[in-house]
Amino acid sequence: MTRAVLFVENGDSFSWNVIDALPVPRAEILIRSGREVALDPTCLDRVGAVVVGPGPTDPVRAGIVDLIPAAAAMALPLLGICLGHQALGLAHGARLIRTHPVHGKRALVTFERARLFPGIVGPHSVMRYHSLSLDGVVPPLRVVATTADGIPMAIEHDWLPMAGLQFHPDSFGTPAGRRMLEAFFEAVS
Amino acid sequence: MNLPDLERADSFALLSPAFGGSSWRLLRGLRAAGPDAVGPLLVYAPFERPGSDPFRLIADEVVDVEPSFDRPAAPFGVSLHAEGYDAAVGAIRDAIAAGDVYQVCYTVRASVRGLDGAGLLSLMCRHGAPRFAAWVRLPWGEEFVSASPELFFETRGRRIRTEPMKGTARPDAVGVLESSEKDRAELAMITDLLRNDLTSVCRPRSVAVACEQRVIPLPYALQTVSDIVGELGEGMTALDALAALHPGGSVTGAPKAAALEKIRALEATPRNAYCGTLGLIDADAATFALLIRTAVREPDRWVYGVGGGIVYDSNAKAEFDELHVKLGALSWDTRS
Repeated sequence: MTRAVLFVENGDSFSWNVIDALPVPRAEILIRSGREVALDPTCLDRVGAVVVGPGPTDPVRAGIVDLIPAAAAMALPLLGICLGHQALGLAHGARLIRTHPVHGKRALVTFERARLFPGIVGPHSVMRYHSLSLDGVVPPLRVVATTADGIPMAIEHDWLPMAGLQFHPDSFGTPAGRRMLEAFFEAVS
Repeated sequence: MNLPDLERADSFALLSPAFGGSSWRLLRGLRAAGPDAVGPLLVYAPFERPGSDPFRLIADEVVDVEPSFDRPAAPFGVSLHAEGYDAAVGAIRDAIAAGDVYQVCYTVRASVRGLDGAGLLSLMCRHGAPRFAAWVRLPWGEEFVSASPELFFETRGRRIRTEPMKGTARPDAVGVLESSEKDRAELAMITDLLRNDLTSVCRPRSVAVACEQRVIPLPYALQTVSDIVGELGEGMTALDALAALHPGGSVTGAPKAAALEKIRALEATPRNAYCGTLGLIDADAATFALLIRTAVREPDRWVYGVGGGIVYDSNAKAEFDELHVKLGALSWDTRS
């Protein structure tokens, strides 16, 4: 990856954890708030990939849903984490529903073979921070990991370089988190 | 050293050894430090004041002292003001269900009457001095007594360590915090939050969780903490760390900005020194206590704060019981 990565910050207290976990030198990460990007989508022109970070509320109230089609139109690699994962789903016709809040709780999620997470297959212990979950994920998105009770934990686009993780790969409670981020960046580079 | 003598002193800070000394130390004659002041530097930030703008003080005189805590118990009274407690817990749980916030540290106040500063500190030190025991009177009249068991952060050269405290149980409830999914989640959340805050001032990839959950036994409670370490980035100082970490995640909730908004909306009075921080910077070592178990002096009483992290799994009755465990720092009887 030679061009900068845009990190879309959404008022979270875990944003620096994500930045530190990306397989990209810190000097190459451009940090902008979701609202800044909404007001000035031209910052997408200057970067080689986008990571839409976690945060409270929901993607509509956070104002980050519209940047998904903007990035898709440019075929920019985009990884959504937590709130960003939900934004990716909403922009492609999925719904957002309330589920039992699981902040700071670990779960076993099972990955099936995924185009954008090569080598991440089978069960992984992950840290979750969410009250809302995607429901009704439809093509061109595909669910590639779920909890035991079927909540979508990872999604990917059928042909665009776009994926989402509902859990936090940046958490100390997700041992394979950095490997998952490396896998995504390898797959899209 | 006779504690009651301090009652008549102008400004001072009496600090337990954990603040970095080999014994208790008394800093007398506090005044604002200039930009080039040589330590030890006393640094204080109330909860509501940004960490980028703490009070920085130096003392005319720093002496090692051996305070005696054998003051007879004066008849004193403690009353808890928790009107609307259940409704506030309900409002926080609703906000969590909507996705607006993950955890809110919600606190209320108790009044302590009938004690002077020496009496209050003696009361708090009756079973041995709490780790970060302190009695501080600032030049502008602000005064507080703290029995904090919580290390906010310390730096030794470039190494930095935080020890956020989350999870409280009665002293006889051995093993409960370690096996409770709710308490573990509450601490994990704040551990990730402190990793975040530390990372903003640390060398990339240097922040690590050294211990995920560890029990600290106190005379009146069992508490759990985690240990997070890191290496300060180029040019970063203890004051930069303070600016990045204050107010401490263990007393705000997560995410911090959303939790602070809830705290402002739900708590009836400001916290002031309570949940703020007090630290000492000396050469290349700094030690900051998080001012929990802290009473702020008012003309006719001390205002002591108590609270806890409210998560979706919180039960108002259990959280209310936890307030009483934390009031135990003020009780002669650890069982009451």
